[in-house]
Amino acid sequence: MSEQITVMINGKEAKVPEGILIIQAAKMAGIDIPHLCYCECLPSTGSCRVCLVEIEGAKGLVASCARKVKDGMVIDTDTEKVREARRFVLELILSNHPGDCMSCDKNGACELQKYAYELGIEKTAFSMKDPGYEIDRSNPFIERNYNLCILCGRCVGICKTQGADVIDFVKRGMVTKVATPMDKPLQESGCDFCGSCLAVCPVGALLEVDRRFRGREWEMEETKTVCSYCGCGCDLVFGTVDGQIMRATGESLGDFLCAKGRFGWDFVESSKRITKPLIKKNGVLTESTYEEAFEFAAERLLDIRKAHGANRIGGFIGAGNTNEVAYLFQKFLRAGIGTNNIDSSARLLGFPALVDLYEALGDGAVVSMENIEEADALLLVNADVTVAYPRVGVAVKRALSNGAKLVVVDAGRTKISEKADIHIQSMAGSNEFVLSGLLKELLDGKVYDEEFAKKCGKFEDLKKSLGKLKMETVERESGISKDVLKEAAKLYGEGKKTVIIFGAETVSPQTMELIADISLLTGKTKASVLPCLLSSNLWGTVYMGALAEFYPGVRKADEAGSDFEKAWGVKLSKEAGLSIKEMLDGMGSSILGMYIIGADPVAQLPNSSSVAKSFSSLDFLVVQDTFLTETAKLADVVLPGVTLAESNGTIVNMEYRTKEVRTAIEPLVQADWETVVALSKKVNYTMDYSSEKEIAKEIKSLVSIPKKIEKNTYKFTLVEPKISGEEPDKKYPYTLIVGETTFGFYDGVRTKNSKLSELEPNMGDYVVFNSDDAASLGLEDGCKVTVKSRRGKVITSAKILDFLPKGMFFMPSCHNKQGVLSSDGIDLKLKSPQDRLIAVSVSKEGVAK
Amino acid sequence: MVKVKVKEKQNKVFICTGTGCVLSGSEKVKSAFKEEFKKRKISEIDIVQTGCHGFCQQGPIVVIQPEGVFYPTVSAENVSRIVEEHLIGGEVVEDLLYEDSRTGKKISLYKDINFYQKQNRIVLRNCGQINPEEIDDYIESGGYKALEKVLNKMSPEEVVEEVKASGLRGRGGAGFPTGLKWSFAQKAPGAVKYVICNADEGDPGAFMDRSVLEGDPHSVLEGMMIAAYAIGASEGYIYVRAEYPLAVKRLKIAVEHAKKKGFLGKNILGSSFDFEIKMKEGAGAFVCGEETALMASIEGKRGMPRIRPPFPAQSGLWGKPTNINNVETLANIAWIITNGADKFAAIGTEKSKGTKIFAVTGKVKNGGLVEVPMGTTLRKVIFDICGGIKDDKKFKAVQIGGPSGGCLPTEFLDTPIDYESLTQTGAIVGSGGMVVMDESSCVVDLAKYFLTFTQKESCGKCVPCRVGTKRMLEMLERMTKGESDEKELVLLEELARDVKVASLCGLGQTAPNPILTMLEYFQEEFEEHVKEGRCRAGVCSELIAYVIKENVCRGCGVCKKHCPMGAITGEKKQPHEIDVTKCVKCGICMQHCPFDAIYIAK
Ligand SMILES: Cc1cc2nc3c(=O)[nH]c(=O)nc-3n(C[C@H](O)[C@H](O)[C@H](O)COP(=O)(O)O)c2cc1C
Ligand code: SF4
Ligand code: SF4
Ligand code: SF4
Ligand code: FES
Repeated sequence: MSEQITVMINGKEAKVPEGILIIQAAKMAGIDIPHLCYCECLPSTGSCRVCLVEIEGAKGLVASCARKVKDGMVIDTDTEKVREARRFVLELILSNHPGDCMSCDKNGACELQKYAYELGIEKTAFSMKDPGYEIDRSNPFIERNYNLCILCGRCVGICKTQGADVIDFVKRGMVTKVATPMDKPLQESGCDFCGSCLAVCPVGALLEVDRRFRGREWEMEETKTVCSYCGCGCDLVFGTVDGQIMRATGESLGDFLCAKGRFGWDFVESSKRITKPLIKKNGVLTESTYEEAFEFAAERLLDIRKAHGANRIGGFIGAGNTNEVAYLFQKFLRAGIGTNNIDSSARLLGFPALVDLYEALGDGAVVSMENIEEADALLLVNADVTVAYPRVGVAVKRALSNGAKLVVVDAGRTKISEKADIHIQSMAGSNEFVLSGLLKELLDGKVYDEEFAKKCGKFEDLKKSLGKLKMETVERESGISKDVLKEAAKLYGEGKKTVIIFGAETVSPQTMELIADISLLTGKTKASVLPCLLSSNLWGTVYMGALAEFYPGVRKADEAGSDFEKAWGVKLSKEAGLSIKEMLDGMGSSILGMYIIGADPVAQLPNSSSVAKSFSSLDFLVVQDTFLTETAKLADVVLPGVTLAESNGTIVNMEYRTKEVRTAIEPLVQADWETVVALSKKVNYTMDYSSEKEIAKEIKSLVSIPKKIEKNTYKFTLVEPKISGEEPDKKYPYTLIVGETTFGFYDGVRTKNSKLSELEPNMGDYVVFNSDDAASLGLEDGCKVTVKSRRGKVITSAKILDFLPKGMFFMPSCHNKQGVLSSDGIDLKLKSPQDRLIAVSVSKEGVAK
Repeated sequence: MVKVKVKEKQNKVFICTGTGCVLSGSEKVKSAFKEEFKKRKISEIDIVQTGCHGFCQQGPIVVIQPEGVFYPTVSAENVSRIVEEHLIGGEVVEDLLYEDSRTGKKISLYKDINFYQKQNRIVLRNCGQINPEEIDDYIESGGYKALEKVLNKMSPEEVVEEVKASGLRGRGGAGFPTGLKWSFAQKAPGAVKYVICNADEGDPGAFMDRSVLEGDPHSVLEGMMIAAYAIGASEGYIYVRAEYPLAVKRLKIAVEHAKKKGFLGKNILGSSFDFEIKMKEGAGAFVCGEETALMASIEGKRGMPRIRPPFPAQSGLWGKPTNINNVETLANIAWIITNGADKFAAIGTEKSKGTKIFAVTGKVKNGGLVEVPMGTTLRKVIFDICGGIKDDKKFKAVQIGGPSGGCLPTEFLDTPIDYESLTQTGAIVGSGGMVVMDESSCVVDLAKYFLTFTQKESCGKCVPCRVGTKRMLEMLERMTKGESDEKELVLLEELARDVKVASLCGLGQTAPNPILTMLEYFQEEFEEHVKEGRCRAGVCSELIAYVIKENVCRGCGVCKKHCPMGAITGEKKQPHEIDVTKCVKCGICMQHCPFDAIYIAK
């Protein structure tokens, strides 16, 4: 805590912390100094001159947003001189403002309007002028009307720290304007559409396109909930009017949201939502009533159980559902049906290895955004943070602006790697070599915490095994020189507060173990690792017991079974169930019926054509979802699902924080938990809940999240580095990397049904080639190409961009074409697929090869 | 008339290649000399190109050394005569000599010319006297002795003390004590520090910095080195206008030469002092001369001022302690170190020490760069050194300090030029621009001129400057068109005061200065504009039309006689008429009409 000092504000003494700004001190003393350019979340620019105050002994008036308090300072915020100056400044601003307040959507929330009113400005002494700029409505989300702009610079400032740094002031004098380079539209300027600029704009210059004329500020009702996209799980506040969502914002002014969070919620309102249960009749999905659908589904499930046993039935749930739904779903299967065959998309996103990592490092394994922001050295492994987990990207940017050092390990050039001190652009799949090399350099360069490392088990073994590792091998396999690794080890190792950040779905389990080793070696385990997660409730889904090997609370079936028998009042199987891969393999024989909630395995699982075949061979398939997904199309019964915006409950985000989800609008269909309960009743297992709160209560009595692991013993894992992913050969000489894009998301189901898709070229239906490869393959931008793998082929279009090295191509995951190509080879230990690196061949479509 | 006998062998031909003289053709003169020498097979006479003499109005200037015979406005055609008669014949070419406008006498020696005689050239000591592209010339004239002295004999603290004792104040505009500024940067904690030379010179009328850079670049480098040594910096930047290509070129040469001679680089002159200098060419925005904007620009950001504190000495370039000084400030340093602070402090007034260079332009006979001791009166500069008003018209006012300065009328001619005295009048020393006006200039128009400049150059960041200057300009425009009223005159003054107190940086804070001083000293003229629609200087011709009432005019012809433009025609006893295309709206006719037959039509 900083020291308290005494200042006089308007004749009253106030004790305030040293080093804060006058405007903040005044606020503490209950005085709101009018301000337009100042914004708590941004560095002051002192440009609007509205916050002027008098300070005894100071020459002229002082901008209170840009001057720090000093002990004994005498401040006057409301003298005639001050008011006169403020009024004058506001009059000048108004003299260049069209004054169409009547029909401006910002009316009532406009800060200019507020202060003009407070200072009693009826009419300005100068004539009002409209600058006459054309209003930009060319993108789907942000309407830019610079006629209303007061050039406060907030948007410019926040775009630097949270956005893509694409806007700045241009020109001088009265024609000064905020613009992108060359004044191109946002969508052509590399704008991330995070909408941060829109959030901080004090006037109506930047507005949500969709909000125009649909409701006034004062009619807006606000609901705090959580974003339903990535694992960052940002707080989201929906503003609604008459039960319709008008906008999404962060909780306070400067809170970051990415494009998906701020604008991508519109899939909720999509006309393609499933609104009625469907039953397949003569091969056609036909609308039915809930009752009919439940009856039918229950009957078929019971039939299978009766004829073949409960273990012929399985379930699969997406990792983006609430804890309550995940819990209920596994309870339905385990207790209601009597099978432990339950799995979730968490497995596809690197989850089980994370549990190991968590157990290895204890609570230090998962740190928060704040820890990143305060770090002085960061190591990013395969994490395109600004794109895939945007809130993490902002945390990294903030750390960098506080002077943190950054080492990035990534085959591709990303927005964040461009800001890195060292970018280790290693060959795809060679992460394990790079990290082993780093470990060795940390050790050899003596940039590690010897005292701590000695306390960890197997330290001597680690030394021995790293002693055997040849840096030449590392250099050969990764293409990175040892000098670079040495420098990186030094940069990272010398940090005092360090964090390793990695994309959980993109790295191999061995990579995670290496990360744990680095973390132990540098000894800063207390706040050291953040696995970035793609789905909004990965942790929760696993902790709710929606994985084959774990009951709720990450407890093994054999050990926990009897406890849950007591709790649920039924006999339970004490054996681990089948993983999704095992269920897939058995479909048509050992697995005959499946129940799926909020997941699209046919699209999400690798080698999708064989997956589709397996699903088609089931006796019975029931899918509960918001859209008619690839899997739902194969279903016998489709039950309508809700979106997170229509749910109540909780999720656990990647920082391991439990967050509350609240419904902002009247759900379009019955809540997911009610649907599960209703179906359960039909299979004669009654789950008696009157609201999701009761489910939460039950969960609380059985499981504690977050699970505390306080450790005092640690040990190194010793990993033998290997190349991960599919190895290229003569026939398939290239490596295809599947990854996230700014406006697409994972399987693309939601983003395809959002206006986000307008910003994603071809809705993600393309493959990126670098110009060298494009030249040697004879490809030009936009041409059709055939990409073949050992499993299948897809035809898509080529995009030429130079961010990957030669021989590596990139395919967005959101269009979901990679499924046809990807390998279903699974990691034995995890039973999860490694499907983001695929060996392929490429030819230009229409050209014989 | 002194006859000078010259000896061919020792002769050197100094040709000014400052920007002014180059524009008036000195390169041609240089080639003409070369050709002439070739033709006559003269090889022993050196042709030396020098920097600006500050007397650009008289360019191209050729000086024959060592005697210092001064030939103004030399053309290529004159060259053969100078060679023939002077260099070979040993006789000064009298008709090509400078003629004193007051006495009509021909003057042969540089030092005898009134314009130079009355000056005290410290900063301009080498300008015109040495070849700026030869480091040896600078060394020969005593250059780098000061650097040697500080490195061998003085501690950084002593250097700061010496500069403090000299009383030198910043010549970039604000007049902040240089020694004090250095002591802040010296004391600021940090291993990495910077010195910056501000060579942005954005004031449209000023060109002293350019002349120093072109004529004596090493003196600026030496000043920077000493500053760097004093504050503990090992890297320096010169931020120079890209519109000064010659200055840029000469600086580059100077830096190269200094590196070769070991004045820049590692372990300078065998000491432990390391220093290197980088150049950054500015894109020419006036506001980029403001120190925080300048640093932003070096960092590759948009040149926009930021709020101070923190001052550059605490957090400057890349957030490191930085000392930033103007070219002229730095060019004083070596002189102070070599000659001693006392000697410097002996020049000038109590609080303003040393000399200051003024760029005198406008309606004076001999405009140019004038370096005079602080405390010299305006009268001396304008009437003595610069020879008074052109065409012997009447002095009306002088605008000092460029667009940020103030406009002073006749009453202030005896004001000594120093920081305090000028500030009291509402003007400022500023960069040292001095625009002299005679009766034919209109103050309202001039106010408009300066404001058009500042308004366009406002960086656009803060409201009072961005919008306020525009609104003021609009008012002035209306005044010069007769569309304004008295209420607006009051509003203009209020607005000007508000812009001054509320603006963020020096640009906005000083932009109203011309208007405020003009409103104070020339109130009447503003009133004439708004009330009567009259511009006494006849400049704001859009204002109004003077019309003769046909039925009242007796055709006496008095108006016709007085009209300075011959715009009135008419037969005796017949109604007269005013030709609007010739009329400059001075209003003299109306004042003289005995029958009140002339009125103003708006
Ligand atoms: C709008 C504006 C323009 C300026 N332009 C210049 C300039 O062109 N050259 C200069 O030396 N100082 C200029 N200054 C002053 C600098 O900010 C700074 O005070 C100066 O470089 C400090 O050097 P000094 O202490 O040696 O005078 C300008 C200031 C303002 C507000
Ligand atoms: S939406 Fe985000 S990236 Fe785009 S201009 Fe605004 S702040 Fe910058
Ligand atoms: S657009 Fe809004 S936030 Fe940006 S400068 Fe203008 S008023 Fe400020
Ligand atoms: S006073 Fe003018 S130049 Fe200075 S910051 Fe404000 S707008 Fe920019
Ligand atoms: S709020 Fe302080 S200057 Fe704008």
